[in-house]
Amino acid sequence: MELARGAAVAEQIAGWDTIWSEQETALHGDGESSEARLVEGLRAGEEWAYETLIQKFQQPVYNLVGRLLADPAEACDVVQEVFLKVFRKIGSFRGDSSLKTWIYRIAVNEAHNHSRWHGRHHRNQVGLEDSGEARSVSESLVSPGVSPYEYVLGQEQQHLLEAALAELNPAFRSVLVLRDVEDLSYEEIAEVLQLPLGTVKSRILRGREALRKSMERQMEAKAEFQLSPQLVE
Amino acid sequence: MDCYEIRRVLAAYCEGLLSPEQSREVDRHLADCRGCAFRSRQYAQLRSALRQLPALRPPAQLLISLRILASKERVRHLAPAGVPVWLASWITRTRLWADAIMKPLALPAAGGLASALVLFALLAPGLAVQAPSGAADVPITLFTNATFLGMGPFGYTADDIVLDVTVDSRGSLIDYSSPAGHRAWLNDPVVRRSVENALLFAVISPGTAFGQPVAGKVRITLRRSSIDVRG
Repeated sequence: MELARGAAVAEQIAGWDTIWSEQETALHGDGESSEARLVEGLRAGEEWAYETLIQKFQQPVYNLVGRLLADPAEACDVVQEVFLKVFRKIGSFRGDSSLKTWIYRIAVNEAHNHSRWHGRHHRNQVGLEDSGEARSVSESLVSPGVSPYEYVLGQEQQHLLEAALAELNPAFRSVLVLRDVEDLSYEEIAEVLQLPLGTVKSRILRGREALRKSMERQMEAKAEFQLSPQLVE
Repeated sequence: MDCYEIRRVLAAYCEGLLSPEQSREVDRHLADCRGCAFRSRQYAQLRSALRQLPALRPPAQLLISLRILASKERVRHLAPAGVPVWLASWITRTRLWADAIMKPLALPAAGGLASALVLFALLAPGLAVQAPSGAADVPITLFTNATFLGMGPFGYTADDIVLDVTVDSRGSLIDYSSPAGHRAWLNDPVVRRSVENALLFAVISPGTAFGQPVAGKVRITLRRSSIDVRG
C-alpha cells in the first residue's frame, strides 16, 4: 500500500518536472524553437503552454493595451478579451509572423474596438478613481540618487506625456506606442498593423510631429494655472 | 535647405531615415540654426521620454482571471465535440440554473402556498354566496327590445298586416311603417283607419339600455278578429 502511494507520488513529481522543464524551455529557450513548442503545446491543450503564454505575454500585452486606451483602467477587460481570442484562434495561427506580432495584432485590434465601443457608450461617464494616483507605496518611494524635486518633475513630465499621447489620433498613437514603448522594428509594426512599410514610417513621422504639438498644447494649458512669483513693493 | 525644408525632414532625420548626404546637410544647418536645433532636441527628448515611460503593471487579479480563463478554455479545447456532449453540457447547465433558482425560492414558495391554503380553508365558509331568489330579481341584460303587450278592446277586421312600430321611451307610439311587399293596404283609407285605431290602443313596453327605458322598434302582426263565413 505504502509502496503504491510512494510510486504514485514519484510519478506525479516526474509529471511536474516535465511541465516545469517544458515551461522553462518555452520561456527562456531560443526564439523560434521555443515559440514553435509553445504553439504546439497550446494546440494540444497542454497546461504548461497556457501558463507559459500568460507568464510571457501578460505584462507586455497589458502595457500595450493600457497605453493604447484612453482610460487604462479598462485594460484588464481588454487583456482578457485578447487572451481569449489567442486561446481560441491559436489553431489558425500559421506562423507567417512571430507569435508576439500575432498577439500584438490582436491586442491592437481589441483596443481599437474597445475604444470605439467605449466612445459610443460611455462618452459622458467619469470614473470615481484616478488611475494616475493609484500607485503602490513602493512605486511612490523615491529611488536613491533622485531628489524629490527631480522625482516630482519626472512625474509631471510623465503625466503630460501620457495626456498628450491620449490626445493623439489612434492611428498615430498605435505606431508610436509600438515603436517607442514596445520597441518594435518598422517591419514588426507593419506586420502588427498590417500596413505597408512606407505607411508605417510616414505615420511614425507624422505621429511624432502630432505628439510634439500635443505636448506643446499640454504645456501651455498647464502654464495657465501656474502661479508666477511677483515682487512686493 | 532653409528652415522650412529642414523642419519638414527633421522627424525623418531624428528617426535616421534620411540618406547620409541629406543627414550631413541637416547637421550643418542645425549647427548654425538655434531654432531648428531646438526643434530637433524636442524630437529627441520626446522619443527618449516615450522610451522611459514606466511599464504599466497589471493588477494581481488579472493573472488569476487569466489563469481561470485559460483553465476553462483548455477544458473546452480538450472536450470532444458532438451532439451528445453538447446535450450533456446543456442538461448540466440547465440543472445548475434550476438549482440556483429553486434552492433559494423553494422554502418560501412552499410556505407561502401552505399559508394560502390554510387561510382559504378558514375563510371559505364565510365566503359562501347564497343565490338570490324572488321577484325582485333584476335582469342583468344590458339591452332589451321593446315588447308588444297587447291590443285594446277593439276588434280589427281588415286583412293580416305586418307593421314596424316605433315607440318612445314611455312606450307611446311615434310612427309606424310596413315592410316592403306588404304595402298594398296603405292605399285603402278604410284599412288604414282601422289599423291606426287598433294601434292607438296597443300597449307596448319600451326597450331598455342599462336599465333605462329607451325608444325602439317592435314588429307586430295584426290579424283579423272576425271570421267571415261565406256562402
